[in-house]
Amino acid sequence: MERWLKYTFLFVVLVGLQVLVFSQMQFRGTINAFPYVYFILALPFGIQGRNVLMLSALLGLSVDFFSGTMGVHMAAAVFAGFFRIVLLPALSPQGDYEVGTVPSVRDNGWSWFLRYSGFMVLTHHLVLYLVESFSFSNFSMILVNTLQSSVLTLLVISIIQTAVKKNLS
Amino acid sequence: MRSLIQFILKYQNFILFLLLELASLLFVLNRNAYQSARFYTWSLATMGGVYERQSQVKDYFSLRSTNEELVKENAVLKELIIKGSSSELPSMFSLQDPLADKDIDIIPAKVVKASVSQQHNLMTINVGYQDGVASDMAVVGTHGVVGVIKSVSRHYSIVLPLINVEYRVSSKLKNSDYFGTMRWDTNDYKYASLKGIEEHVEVLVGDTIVTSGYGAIFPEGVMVGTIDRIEGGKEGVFHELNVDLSTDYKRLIYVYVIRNNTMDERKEIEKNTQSN
Repeated sequence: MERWLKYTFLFVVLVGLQVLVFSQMQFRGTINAFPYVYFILALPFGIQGRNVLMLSALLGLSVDFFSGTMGVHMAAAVFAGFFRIVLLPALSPQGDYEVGTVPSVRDNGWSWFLRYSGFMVLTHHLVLYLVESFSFSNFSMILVNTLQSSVLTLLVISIIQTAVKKNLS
Repeated sequence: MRSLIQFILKYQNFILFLLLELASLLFVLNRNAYQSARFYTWSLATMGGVYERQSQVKDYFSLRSTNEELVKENAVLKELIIKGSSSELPSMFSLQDPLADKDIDIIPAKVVKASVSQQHNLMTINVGYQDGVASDMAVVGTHGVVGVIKSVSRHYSIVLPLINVEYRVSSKLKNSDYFGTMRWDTNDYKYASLKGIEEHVEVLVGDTIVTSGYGAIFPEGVMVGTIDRIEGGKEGVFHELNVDLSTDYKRLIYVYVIRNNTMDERKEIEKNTQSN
């Protein structure tokens, strides 16, 4: 299958799951999983920076559209997209990433993948909760929400990685 | 000029990032309850059916408790009919105003989508202007106040619930009639706070809070909640009352829209008087 077709499919499935399933499940009031961010994580290594940013914006807007939170997810997703551009070189193994691979457990191992997605998810969630409340007044609560939700999202992403054996490349 | 182009090319990702962030923050900053409700109605036109089917699945799991609640409510209403008195109507519909009584229609509705974990929570119900719903109508549940209609489409409406930071409802102490403003600033869907009750007013934990009827949206005496905690205000003039909301937003399935046929008339006369 063409690669872009696979990514389109992933995009639709993740937004659908987010809006219909994960946004509906709330654990203890404010803890939520946002596994749609996996789309940004899973973009191939060679992709151009501006494409990452545009796709992230589109992803965030789609989630916003269906949850009535204009701009909140877009801000968080774009931030995560930019963070990815900065983070990937910083985490690169000796030599460089293999051309044509995607960030995944299969290609890069659990330890690398968890570090990578951990940073990404934390960043995304922190921006999300900050923009959502739009003040630093109860910063401790924002931090608590960020940490708890990040753990949940990471869990879901790990499950996706384990379940989806077929690679995107 | 060339160096400018080089600069832009070199930092194109960062510039694009800033532009996109700026756009999204503009969206967020321009957001108000009205706009997001309008926007939401728009996405509902396409997604309403999906949400409804989804809520049908969810409802299936809470059939039992919903049934029990409806039976209880029925029992209270039956008892009232037998007693033949309207003076002690329960929390939900104590419409003491003899004039208002005749001019109020109640439209039953079902919640098809609701959020409780955001600061700007919204709720979708499955009645729209086809059913006679219009914006600014009050929405109540079995246990009392739920919110106000913010936007309507043909088959759906968006409710701005009390658990949205932008919402205020004028409320009073049931036993002493002192009134203040109820607002949701606790971030917990179970509690809100009541401000503007002077310190000299005697309040006790457990006192009942009902709507005051001054806001023109809710009729007087609809249950809001009970006082959970009393804190002395910092200025020492007002109480800070933490209110345990009577409506459980997380389990809300059936609600009632109150259509007050005299509301327009009232608004008009109030507006005219103010502008004179």
